[in-house]
Amino acid sequence: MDAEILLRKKRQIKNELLEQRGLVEKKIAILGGSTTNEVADQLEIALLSAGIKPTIYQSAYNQYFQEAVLDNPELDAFAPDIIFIYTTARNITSADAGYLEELKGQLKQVWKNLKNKYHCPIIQNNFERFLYQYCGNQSIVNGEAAFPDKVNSFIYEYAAASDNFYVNDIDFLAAKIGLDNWYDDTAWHLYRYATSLKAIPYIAKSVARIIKSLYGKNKKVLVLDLDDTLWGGVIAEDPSIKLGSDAEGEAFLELHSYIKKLKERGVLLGICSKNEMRNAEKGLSHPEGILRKEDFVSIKANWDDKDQNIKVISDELNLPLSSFVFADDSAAMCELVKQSLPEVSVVQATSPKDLILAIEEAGFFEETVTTAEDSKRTEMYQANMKRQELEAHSLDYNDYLKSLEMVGRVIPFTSDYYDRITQLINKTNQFNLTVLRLSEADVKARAEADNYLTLAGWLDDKFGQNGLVSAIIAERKENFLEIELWIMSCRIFKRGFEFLMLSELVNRAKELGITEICGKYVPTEKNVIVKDLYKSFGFTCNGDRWVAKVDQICVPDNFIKLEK
Amino acid sequence: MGKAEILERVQDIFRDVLGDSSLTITEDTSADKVEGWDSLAQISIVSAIADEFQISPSIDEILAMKSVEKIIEIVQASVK
Repeated sequence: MDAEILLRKKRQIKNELLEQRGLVEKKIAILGGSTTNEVADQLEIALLSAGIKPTIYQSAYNQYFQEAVLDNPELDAFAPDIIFIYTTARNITSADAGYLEELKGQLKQVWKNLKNKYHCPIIQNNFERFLYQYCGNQSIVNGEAAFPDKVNSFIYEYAAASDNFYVNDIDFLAAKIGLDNWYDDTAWHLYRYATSLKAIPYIAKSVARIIKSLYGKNKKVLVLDLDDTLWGGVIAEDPSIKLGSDAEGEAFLELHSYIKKLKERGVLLGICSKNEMRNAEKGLSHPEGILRKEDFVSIKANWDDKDQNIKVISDELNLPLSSFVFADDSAAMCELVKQSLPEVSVVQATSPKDLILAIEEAGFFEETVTTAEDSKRTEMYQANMKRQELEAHSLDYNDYLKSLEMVGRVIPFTSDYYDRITQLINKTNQFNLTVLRLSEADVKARAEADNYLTLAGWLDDKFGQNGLVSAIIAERKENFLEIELWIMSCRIFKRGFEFLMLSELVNRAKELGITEICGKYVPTEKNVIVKDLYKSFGFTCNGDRWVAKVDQICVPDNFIKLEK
Repeated sequence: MGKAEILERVQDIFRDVLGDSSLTITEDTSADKVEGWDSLAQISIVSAIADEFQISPSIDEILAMKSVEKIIEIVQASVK
């Protein structure tokens, strides 16, 4: 939506967004180096659009440093889920080397204090370019203009080495809308707004993308049409499609290269095209093309309705429709999918460039945590397809499970895996009993605490590795154990892995002299699958908790060999 | 541009910014008489007026925009 409309009609827009169901409530503290009222209003709208209902705390004007470093009972009482440090180039008051060191020291003090006190994710604006070059071009080498870059390098180094610390790239936003539009002297002199009001919706959307990614609201699958979406022209009518070689074809090639990068970062790709399979394959082996058949986890080139095909892909991958983005050049196809599958995010690819911009603007694939497993995701899902084929050919489900030759490993959390465990905790929606979301710092604290029992599980089979796919966190209270979190990746549903996790939990509980285990089921729209999990293991319902004596828990048999 | 046209467009801005779709303003309306027309709303109102009429009011003009009469006067003087 246009920045002017977002500013002018913010009340109406907000009220409409507040009517959505299933909003998740979060507390966001903005510690500002300038006026932040409009930032708070626009952030509220941007987060509501992503299904998050924020309560926002704003520091007093330009008190970000004091409020972070000194005692702050008000912020303590607020107990933020996220802290956003809203500094800008307006906070750079000098360009000497001495001041640079001072500013770095101040920022570090702010980050450390906030981290130690609040243990929550911190989002820090980087610094945008100044409006002026002062003594001209060479100022960027070692003069005033070089200052923002120098502070930024320091911020990026800290970000790379820290957990739970994220950069909001306002330098990019300022460049994108142009410095003349970014800066507004009147807004600064009259109201102490560091930027023009029009820049603020862009900033808010950018921060909201980070926040929604932190809360696991990212998309996982991009399903694409072929003709006039991934290349120019209709391949069945004219095999000389536009891909590379001329100006129009170059634009499609750029789209290929963009999407390939998404795939390498862990986004799963699918195709849904009204075509013969041989034509789809022909297009995907075009000599100039970058995206190849192997880059896609599922290719549906047929004459079925697209909404049906997308549902089939969702079933094949065992991923909910809400994790899908669908892109097609045809308005009619987009409308069909929107109507039939409202959970799917639909983008009309009016041109290759528009598709890229729409993906960026929505932040479908905004990345906050990357793990070594992300780049292998496509292969993992492709192996899953082979498993499904085997399943279809097996007479009996148990025979199928046996023939997979599964090997599992279950061990307490270790520091090598805190990042992957955190990622799994925040993105698992289906097999997730309590929907407790934790930061990497929370995960580490529990892994290291004596009164916690943690378990992480891996599952491999003859088709390949699935990686770290399950986790349990339980708190020990004398002789009983309370399961605070139990999650399992939807990649490995119906393989009996939860039985192995349970059996290991029970074994370890016995070793610790635990006599009783209890757990909760917190219902959401997406976790119905585990509604009766505890019941099926012989737990009995006691108020909002499920309880069982350790020796009365029935652990179902499984076909997974436990690797010691 | 005529006063009536400006008044109508300014009224739409007030309705949007203050979130009150039935708000009616006249030339006699001023900041101290309208609930919600505080310093925060003032910023949004001025910025919406600047966009609506494609004008860039000076600091003095912005500070003077505390009544509808003054707003109309400034808009009329700025719009070519």
